[in-house]
Amino acid sequence: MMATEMKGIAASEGYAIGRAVILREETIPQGVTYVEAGEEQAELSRFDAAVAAASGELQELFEKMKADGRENEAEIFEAHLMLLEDEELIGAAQERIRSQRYKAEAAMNESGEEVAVMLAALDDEYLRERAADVRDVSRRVIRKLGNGSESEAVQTSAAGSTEKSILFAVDLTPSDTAQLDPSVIGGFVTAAGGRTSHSAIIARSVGIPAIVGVGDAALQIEDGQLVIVDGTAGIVLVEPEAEELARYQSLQQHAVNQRAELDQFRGKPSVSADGHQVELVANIGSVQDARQAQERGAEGVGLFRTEFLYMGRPDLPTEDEQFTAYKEAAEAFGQDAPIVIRTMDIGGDKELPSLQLEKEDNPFLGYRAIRICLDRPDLFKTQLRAVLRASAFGNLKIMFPMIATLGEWRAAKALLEQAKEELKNENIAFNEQIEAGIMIEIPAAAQMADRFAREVDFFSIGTNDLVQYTMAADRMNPKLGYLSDPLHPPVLRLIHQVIRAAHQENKWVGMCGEMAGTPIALPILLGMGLDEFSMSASAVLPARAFLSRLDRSKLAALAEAVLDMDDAEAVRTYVELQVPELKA
Amino acid sequence: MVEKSYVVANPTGIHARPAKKIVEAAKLCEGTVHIEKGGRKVSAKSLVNVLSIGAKQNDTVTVSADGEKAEAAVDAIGAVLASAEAE
Repeated sequence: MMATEMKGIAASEGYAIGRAVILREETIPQGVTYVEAGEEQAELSRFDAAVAAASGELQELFEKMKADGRENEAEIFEAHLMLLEDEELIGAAQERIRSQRYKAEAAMNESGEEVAVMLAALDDEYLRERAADVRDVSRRVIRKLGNGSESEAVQTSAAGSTEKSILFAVDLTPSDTAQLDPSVIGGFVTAAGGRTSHSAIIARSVGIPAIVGVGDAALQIEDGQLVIVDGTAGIVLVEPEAEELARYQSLQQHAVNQRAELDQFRGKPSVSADGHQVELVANIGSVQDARQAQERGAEGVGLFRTEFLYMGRPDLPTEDEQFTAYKEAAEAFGQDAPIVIRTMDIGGDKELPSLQLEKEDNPFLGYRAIRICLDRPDLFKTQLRAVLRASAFGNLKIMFPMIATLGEWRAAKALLEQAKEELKNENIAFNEQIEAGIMIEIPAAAQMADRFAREVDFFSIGTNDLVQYTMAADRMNPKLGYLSDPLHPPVLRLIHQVIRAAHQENKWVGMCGEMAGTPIALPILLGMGLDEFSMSASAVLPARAFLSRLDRSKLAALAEAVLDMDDAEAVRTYVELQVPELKA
Repeated sequence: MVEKSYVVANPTGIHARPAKKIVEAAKLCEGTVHIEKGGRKVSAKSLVNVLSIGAKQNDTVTVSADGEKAEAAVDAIGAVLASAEAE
């Protein structure tokens, strides 16, 4: 048979080679059946019991996913639980039983279909895909009515075989996907779906390749055919030629090797080839991020963006809520790992309904972050108390953003001392030696770094804002991309100056902007003596691997040289030439 | 009866998380809570219904409620609509 190829939407990248398994939809008896007059009440009780059973099952799945840190999946089941209480879905089914004497199965099926069809007709891809959730929930209830056992096709299809299975289906229900076992299922291909369907989201979070939206071709496959799923290109190859197979085997091997190489660096210190140690930590916005960052090899947190606790809600987070979030983030890493909590940075591009901030013409130069906090000490103190209380449970540090003047730093510090006094009087435990530092993101503070260094415990350089303020270029404006580059020598000079000023006073310096996780910047920053690099969690292991190949003693000269260049382009070319390890 | 209008701030419209929060907020009120867009008026206590109005960013929606805590529910829904929270 000739090799055939199918094209679809690349929903989750990677390569999988395996045997096709077709997942057939359970057949649900169509058509309406009725119960005898007078049996409505009993039928209604049978229905309610099935809904309760389905709800219990979903609750269990929700908790299991949550405990496993699979937040995406947990959220799906949470939404399903909500659907089980929905008057439009469950209420309508009950009504069909009560007033039209429908049998429970038929009532559920018809109500579910009605809602699914309505959602599927909406002019919005995301909402259309929610039809799958509604059908999934109805099917779960119907299964419970038939006291039938859960179909575990997803798990068992490859039993007894060492080859992985590639699932082919019209669409996978969210429940199917959430229970996918990546040790058995190599990838999946669906006829329907788009990049935002649950199955796509989950495939990405579990890390198996997937192609969706292939169309009817997906169902032309036969069980047991050899297939290759190229989730990066969105191509499925059926019964590939030997050469193709060999090419994909080597691509797959390469990806495996790369992952294995990086895995060696998990849980290891971050050390250069000549033995210089730094800290590689993560930027996070939630407790969930903290857990993920820990799994991905971060040594701690260099930036906890606490404003996310304030956003997307009508009220302000209480002291207890914040305390719990900070404590849990610290516990994700353990006692000694540094956790830098940045006090809230609202304003700029982040709005907050509960504060009713006025619209500004120039929000990045406006009323934001520490400027709001010093103006609203009530709000600020709640956060400071929460951080202090959490400091009894881990190595927390506190960092103030958007500091421009010594006066602001001193005022913030004074409020921190007040919060400490309060807790002491209330006999609440906290770390009295908690470190307090500032973010360096305003050129004014960078220029005064020598004065700040005498008073603070540490600096963390926020390069995203430092670049935009130094270059006077809005980082949201795509036309100004050539200016929004941290490798411009004026920015590098400020960074160099800040690091030197801190070290003169024996204080440590970190960096929490995007620059810290950029490979080309790493040799420069290492050469300048940066102590801590905070980046997105996925960049940590690659950075540690790269660092292990760099000889720091040779980089001081490079760090000096770049300060004297014309522009970012010149710096980039120079570093690429001087650091051959960048290519490896 | 309390009735207020809001402009949807979320760039992706009323999707999963905002819709869920709207239903939670509506359940604060014992009485009826409605959400309306372009003549389609539905109960805000149903996730399916809230999704079904298909509200997009910059659409104007009207929220109304009757009964105890009507005002609180309407304001809480308004806060969700006015928030530009990403998903």
